[in-house]
Amino acid sequence: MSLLVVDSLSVAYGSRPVLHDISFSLDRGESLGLVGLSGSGKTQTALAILGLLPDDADVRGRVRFEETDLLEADTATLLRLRGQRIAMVFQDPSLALNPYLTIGQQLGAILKTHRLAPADAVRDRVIAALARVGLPDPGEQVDRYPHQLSGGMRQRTMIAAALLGEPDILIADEPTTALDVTVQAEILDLLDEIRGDTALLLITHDLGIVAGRCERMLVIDAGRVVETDRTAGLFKAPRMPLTRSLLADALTLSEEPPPPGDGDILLSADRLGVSYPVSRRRELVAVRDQSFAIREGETLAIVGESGSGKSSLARAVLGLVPPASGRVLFRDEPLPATLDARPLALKRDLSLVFQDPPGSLSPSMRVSDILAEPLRVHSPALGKAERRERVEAVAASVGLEPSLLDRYPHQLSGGQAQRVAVARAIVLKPKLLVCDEAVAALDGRTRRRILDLLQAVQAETGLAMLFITHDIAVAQSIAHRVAVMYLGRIVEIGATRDVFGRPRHPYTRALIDAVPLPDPLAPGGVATLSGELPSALEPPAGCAFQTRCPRVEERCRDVTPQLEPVGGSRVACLRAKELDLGRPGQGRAG
Amino acid sequence: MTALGRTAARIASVRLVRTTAALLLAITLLAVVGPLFSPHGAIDTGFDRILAPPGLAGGHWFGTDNLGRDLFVRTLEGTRTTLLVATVASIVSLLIGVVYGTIAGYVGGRVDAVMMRVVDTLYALPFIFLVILLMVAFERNFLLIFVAIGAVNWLDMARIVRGQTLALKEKEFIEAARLLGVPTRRVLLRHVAPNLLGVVLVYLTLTIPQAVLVESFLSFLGLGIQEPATSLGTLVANGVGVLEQAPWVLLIPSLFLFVILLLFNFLGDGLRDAFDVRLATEERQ
Repeated sequence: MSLLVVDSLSVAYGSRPVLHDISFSLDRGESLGLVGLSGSGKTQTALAILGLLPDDADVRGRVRFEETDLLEADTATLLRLRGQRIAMVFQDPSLALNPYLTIGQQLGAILKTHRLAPADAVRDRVIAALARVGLPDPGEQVDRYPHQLSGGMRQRTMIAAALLGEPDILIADEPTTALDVTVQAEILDLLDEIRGDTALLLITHDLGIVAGRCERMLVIDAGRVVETDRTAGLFKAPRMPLTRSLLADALTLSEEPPPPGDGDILLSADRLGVSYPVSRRRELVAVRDQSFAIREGETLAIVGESGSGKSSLARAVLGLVPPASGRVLFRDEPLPATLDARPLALKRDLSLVFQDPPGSLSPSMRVSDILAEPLRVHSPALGKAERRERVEAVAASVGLEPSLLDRYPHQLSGGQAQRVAVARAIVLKPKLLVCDEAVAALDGRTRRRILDLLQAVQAETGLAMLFITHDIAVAQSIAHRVAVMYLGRIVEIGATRDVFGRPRHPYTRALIDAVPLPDPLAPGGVATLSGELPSALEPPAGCAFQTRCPRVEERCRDVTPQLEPVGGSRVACLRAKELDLGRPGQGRAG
Repeated sequence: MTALGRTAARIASVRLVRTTAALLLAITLLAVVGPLFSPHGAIDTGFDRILAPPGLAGGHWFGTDNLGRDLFVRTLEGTRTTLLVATVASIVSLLIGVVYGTIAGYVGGRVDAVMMRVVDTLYALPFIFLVILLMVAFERNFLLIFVAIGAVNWLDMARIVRGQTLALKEKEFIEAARLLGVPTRRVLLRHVAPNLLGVVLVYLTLTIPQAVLVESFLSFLGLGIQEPATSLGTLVANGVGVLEQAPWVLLIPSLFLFVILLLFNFLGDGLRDAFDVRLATEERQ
C-alpha cells in the first residue's frame, strides 16, 4: 500500500481553478519528481498535501497519508504530522529561516515541539543533525544566525531541520533554484544520501534535476496531470506533446555552440578592476584588473558562481559602478567612467537586460510608454504617430502581441515581461547588449524562447552581446566565446567550443560536471568541488582556486597563475598544460 | 494621467476607504452649508439664552454657550476652521516634505547627509516653546498657525519620502531608465514620483488628524485661533470652563473632534490596504 495517495485533488480560488483532478501516489522510500512550467500548480499541490493552502482555497478530493485523510484532518493532527512525519524544504532558505534566532534555537524548537528529544539532549541532537548534512564545525555553527551562513549552508540547515523528525515524506520545492550550480549538485547529492527511508517529492522545473535524481516523475501543466511514468521511460518515450516540448526546450550541453566571429573589436576592457569599500580601511575587490574584448556581432558569455565578480564586470562596462582601475574602450575610444559623464549618444549604443523581468519595468507605466520612453529621450523630434509605429514594430519583432502594449508590468507573465525588457533594450538599435542573468528567472520553455529571440535579434541587427550567466548550458547555447570567472579573475577564456568542449581549467571542468542534464542515462549534476567560494575580502594566496581545486599542488599555494594560451583558449592554471581533463560526456578523468 | 486613474480605481475598491471618505465629505459639507440653515449667527450673543440646553426650542439645536451664542453654528464653524487649518497645513507639509525628501534620497551622498541633519536639528527644537516664541514675536494670526504646524509636519514626510526614494533608487527600473539616458528630472517625475504616491497619500491621511490635534491643542492653550473666530480646540477650551453647569458645551465639539480624528485614521488604514498591491489584486479576483 502506498504511503501517500493523492486522489482527484482539485483546488480553486473562487471561480479560478488552479488544480484539476490531480492523482498520484508515493511509496515508502520512493523519489518522485513533480515537473511543470512556472504557474502549472506544482507548489499548490505541495501546499495542499501539507494543509497549508490559504483559507479561501476551495479544496476537493482526498489526500490520504497512511490512514489519515489530510484534507479532513483537524489542526492538531496536521501540526503533529507536519515536521515530524511530512517535512518540507522551501525554495529560498533565506526566507524560511528566522533571522533573529540562531540555527540551534530554530532546530531545537522543532525537537522540543514534537518532543523528539529530552531537553538536555536537544543541543547535542541539533549538532549531530548539522554534522549529518555536512555543515563544517557544527558545534560552532549551532550558535550562528542565518545571515552568517552562505546560501548553500542555509539550505543544508533547512534539510537538517526537515529531517530532524525522521519524516516519512520529504517535500522539496525547488530546493536548489536559489543556489549556484556547483552548490546545487552538492545539495541534491546530500538529499539522496541521507534521506534513507524517507520518500522524496521533488518539485522542480528543471528536467535535468529529475533525470538524475528521481525514480518516477509526474508532469503537470495548467493544474492537470499530463503524464506520469518511470523517469527513464518517460525521457525515452514521452507520450504527450507537452512532455515532448518540455524535453525539446530543455538545454543540453550536446548542442554545437555558435562559432566565434572575426569582426572588428567593438568593446574591450583593459585591466579593468572593480572594488567596493567595506569599511574605512578594507575594500572588497570584486574584479581584479581583467582584460577581454568583444567583437562586433559576437556574444561573449561570462560564467561563474555568484560572488565571482561577473555582474560587477558588466556594471563597470555600463558605467553603473566606476572602475577602481583600468578602463573600457568602445571602438578604441576610452569610455567615461561614470554613467553621468557619458554622452547621450553612448547610451544609445550600450544597453542592458536585467535578471528580474518585472522589477526592471516601471510598475506605473504601460508597456507602450515603457517602450516609447527611449525614443522620447533620444529622438525627441519624432511625432506621436511615428513613435507609436516604432513601438509597435519593436514589440512585433520580439513577439509581443499588440494587445499587451496597453498592459501594466504586473499584468504580464515573466516571459512577456522579459520580452518587453528586450524590446526596450533594442528599440534604439544598440551596438552592445549586456544581458545580466537575463534568463535565470525563467522556466525552461520561456528561457529557450528568450534565448532564441536574442539570437534572432543578433542575426538581424548584428549587435554584440555580453551575456552574464551562471548557467553553463545557457552560455553554451548562445555564446560565440566564453570567459569563466572565479573570485574576480578570468580563469579561462576562448571560443565556447574550445572552453566547454575541452576545458583546461579544473574550475571550468567542475562547472560543466555540475550541470544537471535532461538525460537519465547521463544525468550530470556531479559535485566535484568541495567547500564554498572563499570570501572576496580574504582571497586565498597563490591561485585563488587552490582551496577547492581537486588537482591542487604545493606550488599552487604560492604562485598566482596568469592567463596563458593553451590549446585554442587562454587559461590561468599552473597545471593547464599537463592536465587532461577530458571532454564532457566522456566521464571524468581521474 | 492614466496612472492616477488606475490609482483612483484601486483606492475606491476598498470599502473602508469609500465609507470613511463619504462620511468625511458629509461632515465637511455640513460644516460649510450647515450654518446657513440655522436662524442664528456665529457671534449673536444674548443674556436671555445663556447656556440653553440642546433642543428644538428657539432653534438652538446644540444649545448655547456661556455668552448665549448658538453652539450648532459655532461647532460647525469650528469644524470648518479646524479642517481648513489641518488640510492646508498638511498639504503645505506634503509639498515641502516630498520635494525635500525626494531630492535628499535621490541625490544621496553628502547632499543627503546635510539635508537630513537639518531635519534632525529642526526635530530637536522644542515645538511648544517655538510656537510661544512665534506668538510673542509676531502678531497672532491664522497664518502663524499654518507655519507652526507645517514646520513640524514636513519633517516626518521628508524622512519617509527620503527612505522610500532611497529604496526605489536601487530598483532595476530606475537603473534601466538611467542607462537609457532618461534625464534626472524625467526619472524623478515618471519613475520615482508615481511609486511614492501610495506612501505619501497614506501618510497624508495620518498627518491631517495630527494637524487637527495640534491645532486644537494650541487653540485649547489659547495660542491658536482667537475669539471671536473659533475652532474645535477653542470650543473645547471654552466648554471646560462651564463643564459642571452645561456639559454639552464641552461634549458636542469634543464629539466632532473625536469623530473626525477617528475617520481620518480609518481612512489611512483603508488607503494602506488599497496600496498593498497583493491585497488589492486578491480583492479584485
